[in-house]
Amino acid sequence: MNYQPENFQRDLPEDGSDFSDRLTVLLADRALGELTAEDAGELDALLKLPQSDDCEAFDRITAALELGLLVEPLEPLPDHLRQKVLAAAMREIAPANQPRVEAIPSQIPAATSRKSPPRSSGWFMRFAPTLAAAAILLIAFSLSFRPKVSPIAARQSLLDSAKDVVLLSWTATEDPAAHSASGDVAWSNSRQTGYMRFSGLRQNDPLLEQYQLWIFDPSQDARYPVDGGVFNIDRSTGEAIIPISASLHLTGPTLFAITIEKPGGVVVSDRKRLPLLAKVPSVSETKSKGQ
Amino acid sequence: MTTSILQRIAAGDNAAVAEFLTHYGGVVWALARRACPNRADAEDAVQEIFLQVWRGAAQYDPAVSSEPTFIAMLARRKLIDRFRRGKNKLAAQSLEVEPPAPVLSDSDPVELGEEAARAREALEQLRPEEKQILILSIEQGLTHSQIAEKLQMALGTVKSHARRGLVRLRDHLGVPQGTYQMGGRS
Repeated sequence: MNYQPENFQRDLPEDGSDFSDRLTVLLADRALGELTAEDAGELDALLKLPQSDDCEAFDRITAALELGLLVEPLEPLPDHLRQKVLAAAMREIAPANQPRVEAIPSQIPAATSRKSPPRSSGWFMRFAPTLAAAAILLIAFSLSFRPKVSPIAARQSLLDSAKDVVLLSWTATEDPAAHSASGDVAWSNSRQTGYMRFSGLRQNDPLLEQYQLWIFDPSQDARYPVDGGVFNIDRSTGEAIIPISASLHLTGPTLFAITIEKPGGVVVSDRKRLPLLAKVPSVSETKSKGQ
Repeated sequence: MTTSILQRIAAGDNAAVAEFLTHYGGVVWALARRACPNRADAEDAVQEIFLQVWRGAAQYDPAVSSEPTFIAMLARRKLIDRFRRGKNKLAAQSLEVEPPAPVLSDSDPVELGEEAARAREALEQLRPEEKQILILSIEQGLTHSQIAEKLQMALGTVKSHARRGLVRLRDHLGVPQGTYQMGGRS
């Protein structure tokens, strides 16, 4: 929609006492969740104009009012959900003392173009320098406390020292994300520790989707496998090693499965996209192979 | 100056996350439960909201708003997004009947902040129709069309009352146009 000054008056109240322009109308509608797609485009355009320095006022007012309308005492966050949120936070916040996903290029990777995050308003542009500075500080902070043991070394150490470690190759499905994927999963039940290794698994855009590991274990109903953590594949080439972050104690996994979910993962997967599987052979299967 | 929990999270202090959940977990859960038709949907929403909070922690400016208001703002945006994406239906539309949420009698009262109290007070200063429409919209999650139907009022009138109400709230809260500051920045 072309922005014209007369449009400012389009939805203004007859008395015109408080609404000074179209921007106010759109910001009020946004704060109340009433913005249409067309209006959102118009608002985006208006927020790029110099006068758009008041763009979050109504959002804050409605937020404060919604808080003011809550009836206390509040029900606390359920324990199982708190644990989920906590685990996701540990993965998201680039913890200073815990390794995250580490990608090891097998060769110097070609330049890759990542999608820019969707920009919803001029707000992002205003804070971009601050965010960039904060990001640099966070990276510097994270690097200064970089763990001494990398996931590669930790995985190798597990393979070398854990007597009960199982090493399973991934089986790719027909999901396009797994077209060129290979790798394995190493798990030690005695140490409740494991690592996934991927090569060729398609890079994901964390703002759109994330990979999530599910672990089938005899202790759990097969309909509700154990969440093994959400992760990203940062590079389309090279090898990625990702520590397994099981949310529950496992008694003896029977199957590892990777699904593709919305950002942050899900509590129960619909399993619509399931690019990789790694099945633990049963005792009978192991015996028959040995014969 | 005391560093807020969000600022500590933005600085990579993982210990602050548990503290944050203790303080605000119930608030986010309450907002999600209010907006979502069932607990499963609310659980999904809560996880999305917190992801947004962790990612947005560095944007928090205590000079602009209180922590509870900032968190509620991020939560509202995410819930509105979910509603727009059609992944959710407003609680008022749900046919699912669930028992009332349990309340722990020994839980600590949640500090919702001075801004919330001021906003609640300011609401009382509005005209009755403005107040009613904002409560139906913000507290009960009704769309303007649903409000129009419920109150037998023209949609345009509902929209005008809602917008006017918000502007009046802004005025009552002493927020000058162009330099919104609920947190006291001068």
